[in-house]
Amino acid sequence: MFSFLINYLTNFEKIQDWKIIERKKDSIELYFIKKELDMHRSVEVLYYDVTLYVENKKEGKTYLGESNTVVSPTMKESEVIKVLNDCYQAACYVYNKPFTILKKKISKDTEVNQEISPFALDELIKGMFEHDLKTEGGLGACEIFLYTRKFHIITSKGIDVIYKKQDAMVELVSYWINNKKEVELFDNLYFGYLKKEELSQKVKVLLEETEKRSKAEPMKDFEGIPVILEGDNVSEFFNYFVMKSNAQTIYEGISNYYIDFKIQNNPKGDLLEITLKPYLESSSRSTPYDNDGVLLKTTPIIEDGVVKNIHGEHRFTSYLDLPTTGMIPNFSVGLGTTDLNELKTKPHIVLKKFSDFQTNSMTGDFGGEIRFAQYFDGKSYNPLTCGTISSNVNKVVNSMKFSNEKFQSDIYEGPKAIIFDNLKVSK
Amino acid sequence: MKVNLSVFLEETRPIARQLVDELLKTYTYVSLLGADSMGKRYMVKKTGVDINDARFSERGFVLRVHNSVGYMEYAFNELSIDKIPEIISKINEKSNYLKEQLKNANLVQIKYEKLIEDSMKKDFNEDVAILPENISYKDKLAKMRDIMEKTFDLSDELIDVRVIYEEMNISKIFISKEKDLSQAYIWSNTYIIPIASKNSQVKYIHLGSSGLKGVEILDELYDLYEDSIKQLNYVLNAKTIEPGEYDVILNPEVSGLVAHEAFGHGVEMDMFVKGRANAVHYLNKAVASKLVNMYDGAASAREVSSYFFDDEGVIAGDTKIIDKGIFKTGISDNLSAERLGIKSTGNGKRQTFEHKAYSRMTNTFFGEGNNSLESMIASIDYGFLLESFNSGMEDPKNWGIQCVISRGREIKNGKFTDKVFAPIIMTGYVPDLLKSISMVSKGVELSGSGYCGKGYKEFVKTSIGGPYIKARGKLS
Repeated sequence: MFSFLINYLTNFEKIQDWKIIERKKDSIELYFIKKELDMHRSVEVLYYDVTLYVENKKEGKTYLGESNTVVSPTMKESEVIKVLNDCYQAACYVYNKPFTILKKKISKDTEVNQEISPFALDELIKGMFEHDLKTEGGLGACEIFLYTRKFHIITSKGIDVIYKKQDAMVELVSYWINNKKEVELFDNLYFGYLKKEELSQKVKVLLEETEKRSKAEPMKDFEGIPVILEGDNVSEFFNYFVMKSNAQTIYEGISNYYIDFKIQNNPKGDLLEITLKPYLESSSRSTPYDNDGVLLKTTPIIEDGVVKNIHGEHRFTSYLDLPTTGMIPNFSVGLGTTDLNELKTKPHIVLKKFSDFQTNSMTGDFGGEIRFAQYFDGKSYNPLTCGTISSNVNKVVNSMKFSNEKFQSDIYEGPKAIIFDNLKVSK
Repeated sequence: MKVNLSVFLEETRPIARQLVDELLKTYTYVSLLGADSMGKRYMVKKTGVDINDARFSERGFVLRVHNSVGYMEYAFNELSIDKIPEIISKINEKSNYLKEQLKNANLVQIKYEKLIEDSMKKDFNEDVAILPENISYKDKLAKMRDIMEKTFDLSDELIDVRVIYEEMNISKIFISKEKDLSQAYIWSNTYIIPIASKNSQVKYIHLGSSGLKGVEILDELYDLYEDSIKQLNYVLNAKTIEPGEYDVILNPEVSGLVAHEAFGHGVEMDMFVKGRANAVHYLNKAVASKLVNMYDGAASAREVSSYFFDDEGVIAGDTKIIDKGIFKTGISDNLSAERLGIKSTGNGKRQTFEHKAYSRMTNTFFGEGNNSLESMIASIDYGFLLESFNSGMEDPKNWGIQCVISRGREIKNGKFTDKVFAPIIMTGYVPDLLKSISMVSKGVELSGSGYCGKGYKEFVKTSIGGPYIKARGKLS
């Protein structure tokens, strides 16, 4: 199929350029209820993502039409030709600003192979239940997804790259019973190559937090004390700035960022430092190339609270006449100045788990319903549940402080916590 | 016009039958779901046009076998006569490998009985007014551009107007020892998303329409674009709400969100099997005001989640979940039903053939009442009409609610003021909210513009709705 597609598209005179991404995915999936296996599944699939580029003219102007489609390995040649011609027809009516398709920059075909190792399934299972030992609580349900993937990107302009990778996703649901009252917490975790120790540690922390939640009192109103955001919520919050410095959001007028734009003005808190990275050990999305075959490099985007580079898909950086960065999947945020231990001299609240903490990448609105928080009353931590926070990034950007303690989770590395001094927690 | 089963599935059906029959020589239960569901997603915006395959286009198969203890599945997308021995060998190999790994980890597989199915051979085909292939790309895009331009003409504050149209042609077969089923239908969606900036703040709203419809749905955008600007203006001038508990009227979209997130997820019966659902303790008990009736089912309404059979070959159901405030039953997939000793309600849905089937909602809604919207507004001294939503999140064990609502229109002394508050997060405890329902309007409206996840994954098409509902809500 792959060689048929290349031959057909090479001789397809009506199109200017083309791109094929061959995607192969194998997965092992385990579904547990408590410590028993409910079901196991395997997936083995192969796809060809085809993008066609067509030069269109209208009223004396030239445009570049683009459309993509997925070719299935079960398609007969006649069906493939029909699908590709349909894709071409779609591209003929797309009048987008033209850009130069990336050319081959490397002298020969490149193969980047992450070392592929068989998953030690039995060890992972043992690791998952290693700390699940008490009768009052444990893992109620969990799902493990282990992926091995292979990509081959080839274009009409000579890009021809192959890479392989492994990643994992684990969904953990924990429960704890205290005085006949049962509570649960939920974690959706993404990993690079999943190791037993890493999984075991995540389960341990989740079970400790669930036990604490089982003793939690209902939330009270808090105002005027430091509010500390922790865990994956921190990554979700900082991702707003990554999105705002993306070329597509700028080109489409959604973001007002530009190079040398000052995100923070006379901040009382810490200055933002964000660097994009193609590879993070913890990340499920680490990749040497993006979907256009761009070889990705570590790229600082925000320094001292000022935008230094605009990043994103080649098409959109081209529109802005900026260097190609490609779509870099991971980001690293500079650590702050606050030692979380020093906060223990005064009352504060640490927000650890939400139903679904969200930061709207367009409006900057952020918030959610709190499932588990710890209130420090000056002497000790007291678990609380329920309540909400709701605010906007623009209201906190000049006063937020970051912890000097590091945290790494999936696509994010950076401060473990963000400290807000002007955020209200409502019961 | 009749929607036909895909040619690929018609041609592959005998091979699929042969594969199932071969596997039945080894395994006591075997089923195969084949999908060839194709669609396109169109977006017209100020800076250009996108036309790509729809998000959940799929072509592939999933086999389920009973391995003498429980069930395993194998999903793949290459099938031919020549491939049959290789597929059988892979299933045997994977089944043995897992047994060995579980033994090494000192764990066991849950025992399931073999699924018992009624014999059924049937082909289902839906009709739409205009098939997607009968209208050219040019004509579809021309209509979308026209809507975009008309919307731009209505406001100087717009950064962009995005007009989205998605069409999905669903084709599926289900084959087991007892069943040979096929279904073909089309659902479609449109959205209009005006985006504006005021005082350096970007704001947007989205309005949409949906249904078991073809290209004719594009005309419905002409009824929406003026309202989209009116609603955007509300949001642009919105204030921040003072957190507290208020009298609220939920519009049909928001009441549908409450039905779906607050109670619906908690009655998906795979949650009962996992011990995750608080609802299991409330069977035949009051969970809501006597004014509340709640339904779910692919056969309960005609919307985007209406199908003839689910992804486990079970014929679509119509389930009354809450009857006059009393929780009567949940909704189930086939394996959860087997564990609970009940009959599946036909709610076994997969994101695509690559994914596991779970108990999932279909068309979920509250039933109508007897009040008029006018009398409901007039009954409020101080409160809000809550309109449209951005997202919601379930909490089936602890019955917490998180609904991110687009806006709330202030009501004072039984009348709207000109104040709007946005965004609003509605939280609280499910029974508190449902028991506080004091008025329910006549008529039910459903919409299927969004997707529903199970936790943070497994996205499927669902529709939600209801009447206008008056309740007490915790807003922030």
